[in-house]
Amino acid sequence: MSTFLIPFVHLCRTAGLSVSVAEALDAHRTAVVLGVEDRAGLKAALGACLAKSPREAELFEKLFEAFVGMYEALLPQAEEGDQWNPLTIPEDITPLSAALLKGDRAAVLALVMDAFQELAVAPPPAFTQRGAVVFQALQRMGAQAVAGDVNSLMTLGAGGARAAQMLERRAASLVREVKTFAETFTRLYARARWNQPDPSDLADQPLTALPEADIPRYLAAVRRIVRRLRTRFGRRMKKTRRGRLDLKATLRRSAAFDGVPVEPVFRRKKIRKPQLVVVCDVSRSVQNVAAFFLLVLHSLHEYVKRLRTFAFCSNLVEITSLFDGSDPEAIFRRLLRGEGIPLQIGLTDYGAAFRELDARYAGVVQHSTTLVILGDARNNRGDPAVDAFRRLSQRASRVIWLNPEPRTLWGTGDSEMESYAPFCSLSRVCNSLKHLEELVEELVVDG
Amino acid sequence: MPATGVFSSPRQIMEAYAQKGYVLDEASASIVYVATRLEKPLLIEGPAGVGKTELAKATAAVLDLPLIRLQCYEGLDESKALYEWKYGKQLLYTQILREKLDQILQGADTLDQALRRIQDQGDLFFSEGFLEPRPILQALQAPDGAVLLVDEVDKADEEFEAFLLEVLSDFQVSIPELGTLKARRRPFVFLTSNATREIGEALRRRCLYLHLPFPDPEREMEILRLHVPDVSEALGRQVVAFVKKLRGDDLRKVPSVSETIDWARALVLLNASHLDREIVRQTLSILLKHHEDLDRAREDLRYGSPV
Repeated sequence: MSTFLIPFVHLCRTAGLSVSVAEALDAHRTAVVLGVEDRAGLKAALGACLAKSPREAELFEKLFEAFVGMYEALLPQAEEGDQWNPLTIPEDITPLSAALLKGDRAAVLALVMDAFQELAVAPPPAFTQRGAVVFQALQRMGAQAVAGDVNSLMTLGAGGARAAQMLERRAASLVREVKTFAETFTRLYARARWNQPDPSDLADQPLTALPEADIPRYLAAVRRIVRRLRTRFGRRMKKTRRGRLDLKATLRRSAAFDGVPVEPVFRRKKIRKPQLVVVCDVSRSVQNVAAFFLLVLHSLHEYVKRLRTFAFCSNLVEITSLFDGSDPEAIFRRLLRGEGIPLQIGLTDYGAAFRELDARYAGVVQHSTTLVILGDARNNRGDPAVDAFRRLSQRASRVIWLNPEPRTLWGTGDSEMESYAPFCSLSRVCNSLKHLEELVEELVVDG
Repeated sequence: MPATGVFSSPRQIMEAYAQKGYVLDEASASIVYVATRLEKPLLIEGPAGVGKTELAKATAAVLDLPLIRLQCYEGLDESKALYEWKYGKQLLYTQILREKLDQILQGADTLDQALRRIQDQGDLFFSEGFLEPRPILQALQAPDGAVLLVDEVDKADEEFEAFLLEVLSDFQVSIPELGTLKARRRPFVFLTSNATREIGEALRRRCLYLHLPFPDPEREMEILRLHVPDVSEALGRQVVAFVKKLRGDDLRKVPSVSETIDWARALVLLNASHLDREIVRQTLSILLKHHEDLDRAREDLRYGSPV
């Protein structure tokens, strides 16, 4: 059984499922308990051992079908032509030759599985090395000895010659099959490796120029970032729960117990959760970064006290309610498509956005809020309404401007970054997952 | 001494559960079978109302074991999940036994002597009699094994998850005053989650994973036949199809399987032979529990036929 599981678990790992040794052992025991006859049941049960979220289950399903299908292709099809079986098979021929002569497909399959098991555990073969893989596999199966068996069968008279012919023919067709198998095998591994997101290089990629097809990989990376931040924030929260002994409070409480300090009171460090007002430019140039930023922020909503989100292009709308209760990733996709955001299409107008935020949403920005602006400040030469922005900045506790453009481009052309910058407590470049992670951590921790 | 070998095959599981009114598909049955054979906790995820909790209940019924349920919530801690000392009883007993204590202490001249005499009595007030077992300890102590249902584990804090890890991997707990208590028989553990929070990797690793989606129409029909035997085939199919359509809509709360059953029951009571616009309108509030959802579905009804 393990001849099939070891390469399969290896394939799963190559494809990005994190399978622990204990889980691989569970899978093995599962296969022992269930047997291989009930294919659907085995698939479900192995999935329960190896894939532990709907996302992983989806990947597992594909891998299982591809992998098992590959072996199933080797199982007996109608044996071609010759139904004749030599009555006596000499004892001194190799197992492979014997299996071929008997037409014992199960035995042949076992040999193939064995051969490829070792190949799979060794570093997975590159697609270009198919020839070498075929050669190694055939060697492991003992194919090189088949020629010798053919020769020795030849010497055994008429029956032997017929057997020799059949063996030669079947060996040739086996080589063809192993070749196809090896091709599927290497391609499977190559594709698995290709699909696996590589977190290190994604983190630095600019988000503005993001190919649609790459989005799942980025989302996976965002999930990791969120998990990491969550652990960090969680630890912080826990730390703040412990504190020094509060002597005054302890004495006060001891009054109820005749002055015996029965219940010591500890000082709690106060956790300040930030109150954020996020204003995002969702015009084409900034849309991607905005969507990712909001995705990360909303995935971590429990560490933020209040989070209000606005989107603007030529006008400003509040989109906070969009995030109520729904899956942040679904929202992310809607944001990218602009669904559910009642914005008018037109030129980006920062001036109008700030004026509106200043006048219509006057109560939103207060002395305790951190105002975060995400945008390239390219105002299409309209009125930047610096006045309104200054008023907002005076009311807010902090103003942080995140600009997806590199610093050298700030203030060039129609960029109003220079006019706004003096009223910001902080202005940063934000155009990669790495930036996002740093910024969100800063936002939450320094709230 | 775990209760293995209770089931002989996934097929047998399907039959046994069906007898208790729970319809399992083949894939889920295989997973439950493996979980019982490997004695692994089973983590069940899926939308609300697909019967995650029911699965655990059905297991308890099938195996004829007590179901011990631990409902998780924010702030759940060990004293609520594992054990607590019966403080009140301890206090009361020290009062009642005061005279006895006086007797024991009589004649002790020095503090040292008195202390030694008390010590000779053993840890009277920290023995099992003063232990209040909470669900997890109850499950470990159940003499014939038990089914432990850790419901909505995603609602508990991460610390509690870490605590569960310890229990689920060794099936033993340590109580400082008493030592380590081992499970008499390993309980079957079910954890359910609605995925309001990502469950940690470590916990997932220790469990087998079962994703329960809403049942397909075939299976839901089977459930109806089991629970509402009076429902006619035609009406049942219409009910299932209508509910399936509702689940596809963007509703605040989609109808659960139990609501489908309730609805079918109501329709049978009202002597409906088939669905029509009027009867759907009258009984829709059995399926939908939000004002907005009801309005929306009624609006849809006005323009289309119910099935």
